[in-house]
Formats: sequence, structure tokens, C-alpha cells
Amino acid sequence: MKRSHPTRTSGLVTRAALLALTGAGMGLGLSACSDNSDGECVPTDVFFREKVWAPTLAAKCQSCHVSTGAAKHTKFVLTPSQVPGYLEANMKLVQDLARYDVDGTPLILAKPSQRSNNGPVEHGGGLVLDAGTQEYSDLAALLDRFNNPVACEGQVNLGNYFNEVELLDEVGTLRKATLALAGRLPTPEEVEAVRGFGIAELDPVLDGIMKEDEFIDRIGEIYNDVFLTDRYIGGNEAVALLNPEKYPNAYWFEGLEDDQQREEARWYTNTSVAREAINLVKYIVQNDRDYREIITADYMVFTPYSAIAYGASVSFKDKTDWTELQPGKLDGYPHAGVLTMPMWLNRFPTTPTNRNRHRARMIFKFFLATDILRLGERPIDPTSIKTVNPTMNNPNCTVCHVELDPVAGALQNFQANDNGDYQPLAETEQMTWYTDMRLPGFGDQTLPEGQESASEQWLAQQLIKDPRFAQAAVGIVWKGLLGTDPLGEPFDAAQPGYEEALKAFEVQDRVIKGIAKKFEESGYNLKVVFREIIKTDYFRAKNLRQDVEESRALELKDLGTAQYLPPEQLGRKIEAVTGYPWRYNLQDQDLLLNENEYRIFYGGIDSDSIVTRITEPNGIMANIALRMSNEMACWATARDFAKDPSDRLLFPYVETSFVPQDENGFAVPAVDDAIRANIQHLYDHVLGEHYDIGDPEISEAYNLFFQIWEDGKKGLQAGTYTADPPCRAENDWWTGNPIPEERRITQDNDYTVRAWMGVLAYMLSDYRFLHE
Amino acid sequence: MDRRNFLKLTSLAGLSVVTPTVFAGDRPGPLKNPNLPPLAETYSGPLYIFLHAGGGWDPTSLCDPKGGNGPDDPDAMNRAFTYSQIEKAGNISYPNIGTMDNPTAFRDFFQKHYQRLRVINGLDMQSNGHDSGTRHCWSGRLAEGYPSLAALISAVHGAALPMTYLSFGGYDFTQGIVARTRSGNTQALARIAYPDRRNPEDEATAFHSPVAADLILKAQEARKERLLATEKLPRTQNAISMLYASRTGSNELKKLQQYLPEMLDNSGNPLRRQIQVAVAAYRAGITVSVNLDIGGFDTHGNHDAQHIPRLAQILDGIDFLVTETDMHGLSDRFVLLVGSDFGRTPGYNDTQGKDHWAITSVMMMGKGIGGNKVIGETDERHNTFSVDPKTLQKSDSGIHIEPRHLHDNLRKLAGIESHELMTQFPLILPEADQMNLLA
Repeated sequence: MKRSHPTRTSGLVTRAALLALTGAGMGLGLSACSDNSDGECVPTDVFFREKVWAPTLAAKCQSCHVSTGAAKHTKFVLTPSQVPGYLEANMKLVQDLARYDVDGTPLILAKPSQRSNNGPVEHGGGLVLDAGTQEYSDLAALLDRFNNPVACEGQVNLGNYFNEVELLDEVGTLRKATLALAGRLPTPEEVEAVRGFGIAELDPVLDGIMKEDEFIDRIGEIYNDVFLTDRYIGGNEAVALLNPEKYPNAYWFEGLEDDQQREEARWYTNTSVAREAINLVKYIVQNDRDYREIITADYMVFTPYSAIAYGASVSFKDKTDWTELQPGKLDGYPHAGVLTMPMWLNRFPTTPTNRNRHRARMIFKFFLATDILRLGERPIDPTSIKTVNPTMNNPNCTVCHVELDPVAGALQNFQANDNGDYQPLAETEQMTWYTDMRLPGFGDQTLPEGQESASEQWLAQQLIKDPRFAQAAVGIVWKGLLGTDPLGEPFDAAQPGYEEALKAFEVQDRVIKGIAKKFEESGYNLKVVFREIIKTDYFRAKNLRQDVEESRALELKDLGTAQYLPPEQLGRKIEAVTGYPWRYNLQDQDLLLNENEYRIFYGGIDSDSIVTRITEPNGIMANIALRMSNEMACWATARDFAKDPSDRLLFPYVETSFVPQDENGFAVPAVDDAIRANIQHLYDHVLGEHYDIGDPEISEAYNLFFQIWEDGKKGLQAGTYTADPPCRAENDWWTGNPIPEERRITQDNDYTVRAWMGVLAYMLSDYRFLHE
Repeated sequence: MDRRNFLKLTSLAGLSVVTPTVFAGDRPGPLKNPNLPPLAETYSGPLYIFLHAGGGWDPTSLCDPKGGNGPDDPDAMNRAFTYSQIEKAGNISYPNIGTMDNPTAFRDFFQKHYQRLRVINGLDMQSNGHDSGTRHCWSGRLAEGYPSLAALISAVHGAALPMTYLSFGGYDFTQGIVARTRSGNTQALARIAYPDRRNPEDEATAFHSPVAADLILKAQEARKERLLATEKLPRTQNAISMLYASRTGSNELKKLQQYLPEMLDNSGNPLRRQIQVAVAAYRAGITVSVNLDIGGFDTHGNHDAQHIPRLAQILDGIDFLVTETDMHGLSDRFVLLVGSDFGRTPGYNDTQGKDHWAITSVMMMGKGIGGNKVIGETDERHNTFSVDPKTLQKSDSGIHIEPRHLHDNLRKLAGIESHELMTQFPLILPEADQMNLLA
């Protein structure tokens, strides 16, 4: 798409600088500023985007100099804008070509201008860049920058983008982070470790949280949203996918005589096998290993149960602990992380005509953040394709297949059958890769001879070298924490709001690239990505300090802690805040996680046919949330009052006997204070909101309590209400043991239990509770 | 109308304004929307049903049959039936094939329903990618960024209804203009419909007294107003508005309970159960449009054996829909569109399969759609003919029928073509290219 932005181009340096964050691939030293006006230094990648890419390369060169264009056989082949990192790739390309010259004129200037110092130069595309034009000068200036870097390279400055944004303080950020990472509230010690010390001091506390099992489980959730291999949980779905000849022990549990043991072992085995890809990610993160092992690992990760199913010799500390993860290898198996795992391969299957292309597409999507299909997203007329072997020869097809097919070929040892089995291609009837497809490889690399039997391992090594790999990982965690994908670059300059969308994208892109760089520098420790995202203004944005005009509002439209919590996270928050899960019985599954209850209705996925979450509430979800608020308020109020005050989460400052007025209708100041203090505590504990005791919000909730209580008192006196509360607490919910009689909640003679129930229901149904 | 006034207008109308088309991907684009949509009223327009055959169905095995000389014919377009097995029901051609259980399934269907059925053949999806083809079919636009037609219709006619857009799959992106609902286990609906009762069957088991319930409701409303007054981030404002808007129709869910059958269909055709829930929701007045979804059409291998039974399921589903709606007195109260990502290649590949092909067909029936009609044509190898936009007759100087033409007609049929929301999602269709596909 051609862009023509004379106002934007001139506005580049008068707008507050968006300076280069990464300087990736530049490795330049500092020198004096160049190409700045109004005193603002413009980093080279910004200069490239605005002054070279948009007006020249995209507008004039890209029609021929692409992999499907007339100049596809030259050295100058541009990466299309649909590919993440295209700007960096194209800038590097220009920098590489800048080494060549024609009679002293850089080749990249000589060709389009058809001129060198010594005379005319041939260019297949004719004259596209006159030497006297601004575009020519800018391109020349870019070449100069490669040799003479500007002073502001590599600096981090996002300009005024976040100026009006009010951020969560350290405590607020910690609360949100703890809920997001481990599904709990921060401890008082954790709070004090960060309060007032600045956001950087969150790091050690976050590191501590990320050692917890709950965080590792969260990793599994995040990656299942990507790999969707939980589809195979249930029955023998996963185990049935294993080749019975290669893995004769797959159904080992059928030999157990005891019914309960057998069913338990079946579930553990099947789930372990189903989650083998996710367990690899969990193992990598849990052990602070290099994240690149997600595709380079020359091992698999087993539980005691999946090890038996696979017949793998693996040592475990506790063979009965089905959650223990240990690495192991299958004999003669060229492990390459998830790329060679049966469950992952089955989840993204192939056919004899598809030839691994679907898997290749997924590899681009998951590990290079590239949607191959977007490369081909323009009207085509496939019926006019008369070319022989169009995926090799027709530009309508090669635009995608030139990238896709070599990767498909590099998965050649896992395409012979339906089990995701390893079978070296050389040992099959086919013996060699299809001659009517591109050679197996990646990018401009071809699979070296002799490495065919382990081509997947070779492929993995190429993928991790690609700069998109780190960004893709950041993108996955970004979505996991913030609930939305990173912004895509807007493509239609004619659409209203394009400028604002572009700015929003540019800022976020810099932030993400910066995190990707830190991720790489850390040795690919995924925990670094979590920490860095949590400290961004995107995660911490709480409000705006002032009203802003519409244009600015558009720029900021993706900021805000407004994620409608998905079922899993809401379920954990309910338990963290109330002390109890939302389920009817201890042995039940949480109602929000149960597919037969509310999971699908509440926007969750089944990893099978429902694979995208609903992120905005509808009427059904609204009712489920209301039901939750009523039901949990009912249960949790009674249960909490039945505890010793020192053990209470919700009502530490009041008792059921605390009534705001005496029998004569006079206020009881001490009780009044206690009630308000408890309300203050509830706002803080349930909603993360901190108010002074005199704040109107406290008064609003107090009024609710008082009015429910007052009506209740009258009703009790008139006999229209009974003293029976809707929920009782006679036994400890967790143990089933009877609660001491003096603390049981079986009657509500003062109507205070029901009044507090009302206040708690009000808070549990609040926007702030249902969102993070 | 300039953009600023447009936004004010939609704000007054209580619509959640989105400026999403510039933003790649499925993103709501909120601006300030302090006004709630009006309280939900039950819906009395037709039920809009969009049935997606996932994977790319083969019209040459259905409503645009080509045939061949039998199963061993190497050049056959269709090995499952011969030329002589192609029959007509009125103006609509179909192959006389079926399944093992029902060998005349196709004939039975077309002979029964042809008078209500309209077929568009030779529809050019301009893509053979699943995502883009599906998107093109159901949004009218090949590129990302548009909501489904179902979402648009729901947003205009019933944004506040609790299940206004019910989706069982397919392309159901909303771009934030309307809430989308999925259906889970309907046995759980009773408790969802009565969130204020411990036992949904017993109104005497309310969690709160009526006075307390009313006080809580008022406190929630007041809280919402305070939040909207203080929260200035657009995304937060939009989320607050959406949450409280989603509650306004929640009482209507009780009606769904009344209309759901005690036992949902168990015949094995997933469409039947989807249709039962959709019809019940429509009768309860809480649903405007629904995505039905059935997959398994991406038959790159063993096409005939796998594909034809799936097509039979679609025909069975449509027949079931007609029966259900007739039974409930809703015969003229629905609009049905059946389509797919794209079509399948002429002939067969080396594994008896068919690959992706940009030319496909759609079938329609319902209110405002005349039946016994076929528009568009393809040749013997399923290449589409260009048509004159005005006469819809074959014309070498004409144009292909594309999804944008279809969506232009359907927007008009649904009465939404002039709604302000369409200015955000315009169909690029010069007047000279407009076609009347429902004439």
C-alpha cells in the first residue's frame, strides 16, 4: 500500500521524538547528530521508516523488488510489510547493499537514478529516483548514517505518548501482577518490600512469585491457548494417538486391577501425554532454561506416567507424583522441542497433498509471529492460474509458498502417517522430498546434504536465529498478561484514525522490541519477559490525569487495565479474595472451569472446536457473573464470620452482633467506625481500591449496608423476615470438620449477615472485580 | 457527516463506537460512551441464520453439479455421480446421490424445498485461503477488520439483547460492535437465567430480599456512574459501559428456559442441536442472528466418501430448520444463508481428494428471498462466467459475482444498509457494479 504523508514526514521531527529502542543489528558507536530539526535527534530506524521506506522503497521499488516481482532474482528483494520485523530486515538489506558501488556511486543510488559518477547505469525498472529529488537525498543520507551514526541511536525515549497516563503505583502493580502470575493476592511482606521503592524493586518480588507452582501452571494455560493440545485431555484421546507398535506400553494402565487406581492412572497418563508440549515450556521456565529449547530441545519432558506410556527411561524423585517433570529421550528420535512431539504434530496435522504446509504455517505463526496467509491477502483469481505447478511458478501462489514450502520440507520426517511418528524420509517409499516443491530449508538457507534425517533439528537452529523469534515469545506473553494481541501495523492510510493508529503501533512496537532485546540478552529467560511487561505502562496504565481530545484518545485506545477476566483467572481471583473456590463441593471442578457448567458460556475455550476466547461480556456472561457474586457472597460471608477474627479475609473488624443503631435507634459510634473500617478493608481487599475512611465511596457502601440492615431489622420485628440466613456455616468447608458451636453461623438474628452479604455481592459484581 | 458529529450521534444512540478498520486485527476502538443502550426489548424481526460449511465445500457435488462418466473416469469433475444422475427441481440442478442410510437424500431435499431455495453459483471468493475465504464469505470483505454480517445485523437490531448474536463457530468477529454469545451445556441455563435464586426452580429461595436486591441494583448503577465520571482511559470506559450494558437484558434469559426443548436432539447431526437452541433463543426474543457451524469439508483426500455425507448433514440441518420453524409458527420469520470458505478444485488429485478453489456457491432461503432461482453460472470445469451486473446474464464484458455483491443485497434485506454503523464498514461497490441478487 502506497503511503503519501507529506504532513507526517515533515511532522516527524517536530513531533516529540520516538527514538530507537533497540538499535538492533546496528552496533554503532555514537557521533554527532544529523538530520535533526528543532533540536530533536532522529534515530536511523525512524529516519528509514519515514524518509526512505514509505516514500521510496514501498512506493517505488516494492512492485518489482519482492520475491514474486520482476526483480526477484536480484540481490535487492524487499520483505513485505505483513512480515513482522520487515522494517529492520529491509533496512539491513539496504545497509548490506550499500557496500556495493558503481564507479564510486553506491549501487542502491545508481540503479534507480540510472546514473553513476561516470555515466549512465542500466536499471530494469527504468528511472524511478531522479538524482535531484528529496527522496534521492534522503536515501543518500541514510547511507551516510550507516557510516556515521547519529548521537541518539539506541536511546530509549517514547516521547510524550504516556504523558497524561496515570499509572498503578508499586503496590497496585504488584497486586495486579500477583493475580496475573499466580492467581493470589500479594502477602503483606511482599507489599512492604515494594511500597515506595520504585517500580524496579518489583523484580525480586516478581522473581519469587515466578517460582511458585501456580505460576508454572499459568505458563501452561498461556501456552495451551497457543498450542491447543488440551484438546486431547479426556478419556484416551492423547494415548490413542501414539503408534501402538512403537509405544506398546501406551495403555499400560489397563493392566491395573483396582478400578479407581486404573482410572486415576488413565487420567494422569493421558493428560501427561496430551500436555507434553506444554510441559516442555513449563519445564524450561521452571528451571530457568533457555527458552529457545522450545524448539531446539534434544529431549522431551515426561511425567512418571507418560514415561511409562512412551517406554522412556527417566528417573523421578517421586514416581507417584504425576506433576513431576523430568527430561528424557526416546531412542533414535531426533528431538527438536515441540516440532517433533506427537501431540503437537497431531494437533496440526498434515495430509499427502498438504505436505506439512499447515505445520509450517503454524511454525511461522507461533515462533516467528508471522501470519503467512496475510502475505497473500489480496484478491486473487486462482481460476486464471494456468501455470504448471503454480506453487512453484505462479506469483499468485509463490508469494506465500516461497516462504512456506521450504519449512514444510524441513519437517519431512514426520509426514508419512497420521500418528505424528518419526520416520526418516529416506526409509520410506518416497525416499526424497517432492521434486515439485522448493528444496527444504528456511529463508535463503537450504537444508544441507546429510542432515535430512534430522532436518527438524536443523530447522529449529535456523528459526532461533531469526530476530522474529524473540519478538514472537514476547507476543505470546503479552497476550497472556494483557489479554490482547500486540497491535498490528495499520495498513490503510486512507482510513480515518490511521495516524493515531500508526503512532500507537510504533510506540508499542518499540516497547515490545525493547523487551525482546532484554529477553535475548538474558539468555532467553522467559521470566524476564514477564517482568518487563509487568513494568510497562501498558500493564500499569490506570487512568488519565485529564480529559483528552478525540485524536489523543484514539492514540491511547489500547491502554488501560480493562481485561475482562477469562474463566480461569476469575476463578482464581474468587478463591484468592474470598478464601473459597466457586464450586458446590470440595471434590467438584470449579464451575467456571467445568465445560458442563459455565466454562463455554463464560467465553472459555475447549481447545477443540472453540479455540478463541470471548473477551467482552454478553448477557449470559453478565448473568453468570451476577450469580457468582450472589452465591459467593452468600457462602463466603457465613464462612468468614464463622472463623476467628484473626483468620478472616473479609470481615476482620466486625462481628455479626455489630449493629449500627441500638434498640432506641441511636447510632453506636464505635460500631459505626468498625463497619466503615471493614468496608474500607473490603474495597482494598476485594477491589484493590484504597480510600480514606471519609471518602464518598465508603459512605456509599455504608449506606447500602445500613439500608439493607434497617429493612431487615424492621422485617424481623414485623415477622415478615425470618432469622434464617440464606447460607450457613456449620462445618469447615475444606475439612468437613464441625466448626465450634459458638462460632457457627446458623441464625441471623440481627440481619447483619445478610447486610454484609449485600455489600459483598455489590463488590463481587463490580467492574473492578471482574476485570483486571 | 464529519467524524466528530458521527461520533456524537452514535454516542446519543447509545452505540459503542468503534473505529476499528484502521487497526489490524479484531480490536474494539472505544471512545467515550457514557450512555447505556436502551433497555432491552424483545426482538420481533426475523432470525438471521448463517450456516458455515467449514473447510471449503464442493458446490459441484451439490447445487452446481457437473458429474462424469463414473468412478473410473480420470477426467470426471465428480466421480460420485454420472451426468445422467443430475436432475432438476424446478430451476435448481442437483445430483441424485445420498448416503448409505439415505441414498436419495439430495433428491428428497431439493424436491421438497426448491421453491424456497435460491442458489448463487460461480461466486468468486478471490482466495483459496481458509481464513481469508471464510472472512470474505461472512463479512463481505477479503481483508481483516470487518465484523461478520451477523454481528452487524445484531448490532443494529438488538445490541442490548442478552444473546443477540449467538455463535456456534465460523467467522464471528464482532469488532466490538456487539456482544457475541456461545452456547454451552443448556442444562446449566436454568441457574444462569435466575442468578438471584439459590434454586432456580423456586422463587422463594432468593439470595436477597426484594428490598435488598433493589438496593444492590441501585448501588451498582450509582457506582457505574461514578466510575464513568472518573475513568478516562477509553478502553476502561468502554469496558465499564459494556459490562453494564450486558446486564440490561439479563432478565430476558428467563424466557429462554421456557422455549428450550427438554431434550435436545441426539441424532448425531450437530446442526440440529444448534438450530434448536437458536430457535428457542429467537422465540424468547433475545437473539437476532446466529452462526451455525459444521466442519469437515476440507477433503484433500478421499473426497467423495468424506464430503458427500457432510453435505447430506447440511441438507438435513436445513430441512430440520424448516420443520422446526414451521412447527413453531415461524415459517416466514427467518433468513438463511449457507456458504463456505471457497470451493474445491475441478477433478481429483492423486489421493482422490479435491483441493482449494476460489469459486463457490451459496444457498439462501427465507423472508424476502424468492425461491426456485439460480443466479450465476460456471462452465464444465467450474470456472465462473462474468455477468452483466444489471441483467445477471452471462457477459464477457461483465464482472464476477463476489461476496460484496451478496452482502450489499443482504444488508438491504436486513434493513441496515443506511445505518450509521455501515459507514465504518462500507462495501466498496460502485453503483454500476451493483447487482440485485434477490430479485
